[in-house]
Amino acid sequence: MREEKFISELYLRLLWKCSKRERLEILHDMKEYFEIALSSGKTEKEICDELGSPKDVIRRIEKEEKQQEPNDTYTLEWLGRSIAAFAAVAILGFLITQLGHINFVILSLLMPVEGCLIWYIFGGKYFSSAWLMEKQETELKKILVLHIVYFIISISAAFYFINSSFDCEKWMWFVKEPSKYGLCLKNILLTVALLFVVMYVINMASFHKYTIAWYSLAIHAIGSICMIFGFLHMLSRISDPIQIIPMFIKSMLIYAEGVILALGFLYYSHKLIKKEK
Amino acid sequence: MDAQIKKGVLDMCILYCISQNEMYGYDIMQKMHQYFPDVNESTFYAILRRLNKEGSAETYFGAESNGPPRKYYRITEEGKIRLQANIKDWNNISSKVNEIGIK
Repeated sequence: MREEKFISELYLRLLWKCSKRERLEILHDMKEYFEIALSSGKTEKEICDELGSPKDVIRRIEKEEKQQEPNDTYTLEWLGRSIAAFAAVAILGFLITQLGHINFVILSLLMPVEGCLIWYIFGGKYFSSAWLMEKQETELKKILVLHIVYFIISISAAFYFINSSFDCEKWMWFVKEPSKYGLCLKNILLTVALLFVVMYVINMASFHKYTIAWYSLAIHAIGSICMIFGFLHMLSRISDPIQIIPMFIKSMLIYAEGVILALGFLYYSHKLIKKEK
Repeated sequence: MDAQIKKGVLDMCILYCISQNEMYGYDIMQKMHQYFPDVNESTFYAILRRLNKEGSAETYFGAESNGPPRKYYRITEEGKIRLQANIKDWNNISSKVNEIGIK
């Protein structure tokens, strides 16, 4: 049990830090170490004490390798986080440009909640996936609940979009047979959404800790796809001059928020890296 | 042990060990830990990884009579040159230290 915990924690901590090849190599070496040590009569506890915590193991590896090459793993890490943050904000942009006035009010109330969530999940080192691991199970469950809420909001919004404001004729202004392609796209979107629900539920049930990080990324990636659709939708309405101005301002504000947030992440992570050095 | 001194010495000792015998990771870590009990096993692992990356050591999978193959480490030509240089430096330093009178 201890070995399993050690290996899975190590895996989670390595997720952001290095390439897949390196990660598998380190995991293999550690598994081998456990196997040989166990066969020589040591207990799992003794082995864990010997090696130190997974955090220590990674720290030692990093310390040795730092002298060799500058740490561009961090660059990747904060780049990934910034992109994720941007994508997360994008879904909000989509929702606001798509939904009606009443929903707009609700969404503006949800906005700070979403903001907190993003910071909670992606906000620099202390809220990274490895940080999640350090927390107790209850903390982890709390985060999962927040994710479900967020997930339900985005999926219901997606369904709302598909069912009520999906105007094939207008939306698919760039294809010759709008209704045909529009229907096709609608079906694809529905399938993707449903598949995602199923996958999410299955994985929630199996409760794999290290998949959480990927799920938050996946949710936000879907959000960014929705944003693109939303933007295309907006473009399709260009023929209406009265509507275009407030919509343009709205979406620009949202983009600005995304950029500010992304820059904030960049700055924050950069500061952390400097501090660590 | 002082970190600066330790780094060079540990590199040299590990390189020497794998130049004498081809050993698998666990073996090296255990053996080194016996000599340097205040240094953690995973530190030796980290050093082995670095030596491997730098090209002083290489790995291969050796067939075991029972159980899965293990990852063995052996010294490369580059590593041998480095080891010779390290030993020379070390002897030089220790003779100077002795000359001063530190025993």
